[in-house]
Amino acid sequence: MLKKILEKIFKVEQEELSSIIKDAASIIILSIIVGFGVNLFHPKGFSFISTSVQKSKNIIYISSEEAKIKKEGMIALFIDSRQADEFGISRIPGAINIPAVMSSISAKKMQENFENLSGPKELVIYCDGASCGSSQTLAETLIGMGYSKHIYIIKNGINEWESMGMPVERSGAEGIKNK
Amino acid sequence: MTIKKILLNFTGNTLYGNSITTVLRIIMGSLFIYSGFFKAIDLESFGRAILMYDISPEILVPYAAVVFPFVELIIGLFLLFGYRIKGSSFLSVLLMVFWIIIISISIYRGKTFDCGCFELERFGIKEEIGFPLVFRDIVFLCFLLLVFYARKHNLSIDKLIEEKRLRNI
Repeated sequence: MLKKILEKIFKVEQEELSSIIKDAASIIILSIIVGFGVNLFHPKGFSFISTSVQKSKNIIYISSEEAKIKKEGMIALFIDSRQADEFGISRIPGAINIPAVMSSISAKKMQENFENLSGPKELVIYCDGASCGSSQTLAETLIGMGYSKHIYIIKNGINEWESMGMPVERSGAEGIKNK
Repeated sequence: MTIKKILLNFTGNTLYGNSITTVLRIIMGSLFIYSGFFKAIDLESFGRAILMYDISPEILVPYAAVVFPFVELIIGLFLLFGYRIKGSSFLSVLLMVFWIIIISISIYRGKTFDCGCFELERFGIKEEIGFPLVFRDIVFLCFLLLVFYARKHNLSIDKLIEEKRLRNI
């Protein structure tokens, strides 16, 4: 079908057409081989490792103990990736809240604050526990925005942090009740 | 009357293949080699140019950026030396049509950016998306069609091969 249309458009005979297509195909195959071959040794070439592998390379999971060391050394900026209301109830002192569920507003906010985030401080992200994915999502978003240093995630989240008796800031209705 | 005859003769010869098609073939071949070569040197920025068109999914961009320059380079070499002219000019016609389409889409979307076509900005020729660019590509397309339809190619490997074959018969 396609051949017939091509025949009509280009006014060539069947035999000639198939030899033309064969030639064209071999040119493409040749250039694919040469292209990927050159790309392998190209200083500005592409790496075809999937981006998720590359992203997770920069993410390091740490325990609450390690997070505590970072906290006491004042070398880390803590980011709470949970929703704002959860953040309102309890948080690690000094942490800022960036909900990982990305709306366009929070994405814009993050873009604006990106320079602050990529300052000299290390980033430590946490959410509820090991099963919450929002820390991972947030870390991947940050890396996607061009954050190039390591990002630390507290593996067992604020639950472990709290159960180990480390300081938690509380406010809001729940916080008052607990007091 | 004679003018018409000369004109007909001229166009007929051009369609059959004469020094005009040879010159066109060499020019287009060199142009493809030139643009393919500079794209191949800087694959990364070519990838960025593809990304600007915003027509292929982002995952495919590196693959396109790796393959395209070498398609151009090989087509250019084949056209310049006149090897497998039919096949390579056919492929170049398809490429040209493809470019005209995607440039037109970008015009329709109202975008202007450097098109990353022939890397002519090295000569100070601006290549921004716009109607002049489409016009230029259509002219190039016509050149390539002339080369494609021509049956006789001076100064080409194809001709040498054909002559050798005829001699052996």
